[in-house]
Amino acid sequence: MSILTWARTRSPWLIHFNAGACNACDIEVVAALTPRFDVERFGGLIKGTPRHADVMVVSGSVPRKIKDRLKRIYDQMPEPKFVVAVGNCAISGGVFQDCYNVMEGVDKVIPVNAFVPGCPPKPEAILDGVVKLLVSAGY
Amino acid sequence: MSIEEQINVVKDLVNEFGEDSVYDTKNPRLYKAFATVKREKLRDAVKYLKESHGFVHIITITGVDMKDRYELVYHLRSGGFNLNLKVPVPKDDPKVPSITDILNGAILYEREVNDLLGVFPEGHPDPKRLVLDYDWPEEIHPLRKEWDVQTIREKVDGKKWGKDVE
Repeated sequence: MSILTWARTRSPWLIHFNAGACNACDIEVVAALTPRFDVERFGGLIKGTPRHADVMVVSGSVPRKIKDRLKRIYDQMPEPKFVVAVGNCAISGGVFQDCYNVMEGVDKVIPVNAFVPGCPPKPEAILDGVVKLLVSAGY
Repeated sequence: MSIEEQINVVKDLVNEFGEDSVYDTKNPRLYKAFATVKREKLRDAVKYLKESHGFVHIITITGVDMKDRYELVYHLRSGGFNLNLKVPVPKDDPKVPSITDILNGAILYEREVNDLLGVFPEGHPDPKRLVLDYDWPEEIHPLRKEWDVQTIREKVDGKKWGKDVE
């Protein structure tokens, strides 16, 4: 393992993006950041700006009006960057799949590295998704 | 307000405008009433209800595609009493008089109905797009029954896509 990979995988700074979610997934993402589940033992830290972040955590079914903003936030993140899609809506559109204004998932708009299913997924599942992503990145 | 008083409110409305203009009235239970109003008399009826019976709050406007016509439902409220005014709109002339100058709360609801069902509010101060995407085609009103999701995607994105199309 190079020292660069070692340093990067031990400080995955996160940005949380709500792309039209109902807030259930967002509450679980916020719960995953609390000391009870403690994302900081992996070096994770929630950041307020995409320019400081390595991992984007996206929830929601991506309506048409938000897809340009999602793409723009993704483009603002520095390389290397990763995306975790949290919840059934972010994977396939969920119950909104056949709506006229829904893109059927985050991977129609930006590339996704890890999917976390559930409606909403448990905080443990979200952490597991992030850790599996880190392992695939060479943790 | 007892149910007798609420029945009288609806009766007053019928007496004021005549049985040709206000019909199909119903009081299914306390605090709930329905009436169908002709499109030409809508503004007068809303003004009358506001000034005589204190219906100053409009909860929302619902649009329904009834196959042979559109129907707008104006949900008015006064002191816990919900009065739902149904307004039939013919499909070949989808327009309705705006009530924004009488009840200011209708300003966004009329724009939304114009977006999604294509019933234009005549006399609205600012009838621009509210909820649809920026590059959405003008002629597509997605809650009309003639549209389905794949036809809309073909028009908007140039091709069908999704789980039904592989």
